[in-house]
Amino acid sequence: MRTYILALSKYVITAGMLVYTLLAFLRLGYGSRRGEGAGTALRKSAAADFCMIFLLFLVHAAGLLTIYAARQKPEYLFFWLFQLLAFAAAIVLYRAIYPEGNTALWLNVCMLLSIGLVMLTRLSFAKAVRQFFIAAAGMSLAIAVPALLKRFRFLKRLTFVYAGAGAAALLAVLVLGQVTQGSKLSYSMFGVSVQPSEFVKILFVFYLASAYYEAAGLREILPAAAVSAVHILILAASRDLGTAAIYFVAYVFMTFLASGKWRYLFLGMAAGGAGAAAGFRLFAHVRVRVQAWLDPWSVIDTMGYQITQSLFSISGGGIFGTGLTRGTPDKIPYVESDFIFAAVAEELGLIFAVCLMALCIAVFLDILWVSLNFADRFYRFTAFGFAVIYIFQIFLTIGGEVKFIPLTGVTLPLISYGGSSVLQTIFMFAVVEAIYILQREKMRSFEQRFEREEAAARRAVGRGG
Amino acid sequence: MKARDWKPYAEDRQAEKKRIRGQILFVQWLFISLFAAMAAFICIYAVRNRKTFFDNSYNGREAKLLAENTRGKIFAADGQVLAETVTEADGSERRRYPFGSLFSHVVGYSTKGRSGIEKEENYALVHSDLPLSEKAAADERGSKYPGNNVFTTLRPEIQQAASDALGMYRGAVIATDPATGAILAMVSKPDFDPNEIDVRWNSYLAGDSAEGRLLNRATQGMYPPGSTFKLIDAIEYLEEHPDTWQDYRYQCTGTLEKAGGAVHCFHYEVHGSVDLVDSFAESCNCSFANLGLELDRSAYENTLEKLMFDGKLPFSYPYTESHVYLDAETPEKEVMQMAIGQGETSMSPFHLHLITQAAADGGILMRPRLVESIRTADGSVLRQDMPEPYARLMSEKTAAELRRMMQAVVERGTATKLSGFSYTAAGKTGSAEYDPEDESRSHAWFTGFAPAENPQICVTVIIEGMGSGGDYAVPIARRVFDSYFAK
Repeated sequence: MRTYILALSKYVITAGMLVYTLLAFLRLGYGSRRGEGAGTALRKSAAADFCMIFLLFLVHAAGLLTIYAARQKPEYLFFWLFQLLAFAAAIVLYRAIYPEGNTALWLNVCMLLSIGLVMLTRLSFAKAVRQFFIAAAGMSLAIAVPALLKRFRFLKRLTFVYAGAGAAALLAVLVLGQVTQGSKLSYSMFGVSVQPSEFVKILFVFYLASAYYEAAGLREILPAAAVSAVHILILAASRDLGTAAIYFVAYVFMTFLASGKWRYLFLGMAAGGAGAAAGFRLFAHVRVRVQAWLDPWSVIDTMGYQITQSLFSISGGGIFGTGLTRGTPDKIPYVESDFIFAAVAEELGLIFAVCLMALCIAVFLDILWVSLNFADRFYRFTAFGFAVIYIFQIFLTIGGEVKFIPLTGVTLPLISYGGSSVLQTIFMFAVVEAIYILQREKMRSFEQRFEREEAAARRAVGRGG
Repeated sequence: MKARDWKPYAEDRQAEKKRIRGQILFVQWLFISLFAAMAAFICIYAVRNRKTFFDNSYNGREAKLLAENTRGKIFAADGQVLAETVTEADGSERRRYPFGSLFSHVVGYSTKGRSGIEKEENYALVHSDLPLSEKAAADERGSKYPGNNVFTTLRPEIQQAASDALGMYRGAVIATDPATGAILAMVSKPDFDPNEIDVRWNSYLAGDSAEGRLLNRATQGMYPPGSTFKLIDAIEYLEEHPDTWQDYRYQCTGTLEKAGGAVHCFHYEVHGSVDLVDSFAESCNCSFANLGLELDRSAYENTLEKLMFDGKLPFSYPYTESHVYLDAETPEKEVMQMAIGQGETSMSPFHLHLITQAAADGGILMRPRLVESIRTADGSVLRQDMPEPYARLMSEKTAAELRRMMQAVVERGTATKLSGFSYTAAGKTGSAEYDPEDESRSHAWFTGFAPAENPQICVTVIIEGMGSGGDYAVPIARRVFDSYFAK
């Protein structure tokens, strides 16, 4: 029995993920469609939601039960049940509290989290448990965010609070931080290690949105450039190059959207290229990374070790993967945080890995379309900024793991191990949900007003006739 | 007017809305295409490099697999085991090679790195594709899964004959079936015992630099081809003069001096008036040096390329590329040397063998192969290597003429030691001088096939530094032919 479970579960997981991803894309359209025609759309989306929930639990159960079959320790079984309850509660509560919410997005977040937990359980039980509690706490808080955001009308006026708090937090890491792998990323508070650059990402997007929402001429763009430069330089000084790149991209793309000028996009890209070239010239650690990307085989003992182990993993798994617990992802240093995608690709297979990338794109589109449909500039820019930093971070981490681009060592949001990362991402999604709900409610109130007025007009006409 | 047509933000924001829509769609497609490119990259990169990555010594995958699978067996064509893993009483595993050093180079070893079939088919050997029911049964028993087995084309009796015939000489013997490309035997001496590779590794590496015990001389050895190169001259001449080659005449005086260079026949023998077949059968150097100068150089260059000089052979095992130097600028005295297989020209025995093999099979080279099939431990076929034509190396007519000329070598030329047996053999000998200081020292070559009318086996022999091909290499080939036809 055990032999069969270990050998066959990977096909169930691949099939489940494949169908889930297809549904997630089909569901995209319905999530943001409003108004009339909603009858069929709603029915269809409800059916799709039902299937997606089923598949989420199927993939999750197949994954964790496979690990249980391999390890044969009861705690794995209990851990699965706890997770099951937590996800069920998250899904049911959210639908109950926010019937107007974007359930597809929320489901996708749960799906990504569950994939992350399955993979972490396989890699390190202790870390998975920790991640589970942090995520559960984050989800509980996240459910409150939409209700709060409606009341916080002052958010768009806090421009310099965001900038100041963000820069200060980053500076504190630079001065006080602990060094991990040559980078200063975190400091300890009350025995808990916090990575502020994750949370400052949110502040930074809020900052840019509030700086630009009234106008985005040169008078706004240049100060924003200065503030961004401060953030980015502090991060570069902490040697957190991946995060620095994310901040930079957020600045360039949000400036592009707010100003409406394509030249800022190209100018920004050119500046990014120049910055990268300068970094390459000036800093040995940048050159080493580029070399490890171009030819990791010549430095396989040192800088190329991580990336080549990652390539071995990905290629060793093949189309359907080795099956959970049957690969060798443990050989990749920092696999739970920086190389989790390689572990997923190895044990769950290339089809699954590509579906995972597609699912991330679906989530990205969901956020992006919130920004497309919302007319309030502050919220539009915020959602757009979140979409861009979310997808760009995924591009950095997966691209680095598969040798598509140089390695930068950022996490895969919701999947990688890391409390700060997972909290930050959940909070970000909560804000996006809040914006979505705000948008729906506004729409609804406009529609109601319009209907009232129309009815009044009709009555008036009737009376007149 | 319906509800959905009502535009809540209808002021002057229409233009901005349109612009933002364009920008957002741009960003959307930008990242979608980036991700599509990345996904395509990873899939292609991972799948294409699968075996290379697997064989990298830094990859821990093999160790993980060997913890659950026992390395598969390697079998000879007749079903005898060439390599297997045995579990000792204490549970440790050992790779056993029942034939000792007989198949050392071709089957190879799997500890201290890997070589031969052990290396090339490593991926298959360490994987186990048993059906799940069998695996479940193995789990019940608490035993490991047996890995996939490799069935080779090698024939132990021919390999043994070749090895015995070569004796203590340094050199190599190759035997293949020209119709299928199946490699029947491949011997290289000095050899080593793969059973003792771990304990005797250092002594195998030691020895004088000429010893090269771990080197497979059959494919990696580089030798001047000597008179066997006349095969290649003859091919070119036959292709250039398909209808008039019979008119070729040359008056041999034992020495040809021309263009500042001089060529002698072996032991300064004088062959007198010879045609092409005589020149070939008696291996007349002067005649071939003369013929070499007559050949159309650009046509010859093309032929050399077609015959895989300075290029790849259709073989995935390690081999050394042969070299020949010829272009419009080559001085005539060097062309004379090239035509008799001396000078800068160097060939591997395997390369020469493939040319003979193509001649034996009507000009078509069948892709040489060592593996017949790969099967799971319970016998279901995972991969079957079918005979596969690789390329036409010469026209059918050229191949037929060449076969007749090679038959003349045995009937009345330098390989008469092969005549008078139950089978009719054909071939070409060579005595390749390799020491400019001492012209009496030469490598002994023979390449040929039997039966001459309907070739079933091709054999190529080289012995290092022993003397003439006719005296030393031909008897070895004979014993290989004998073992094949003894059945």
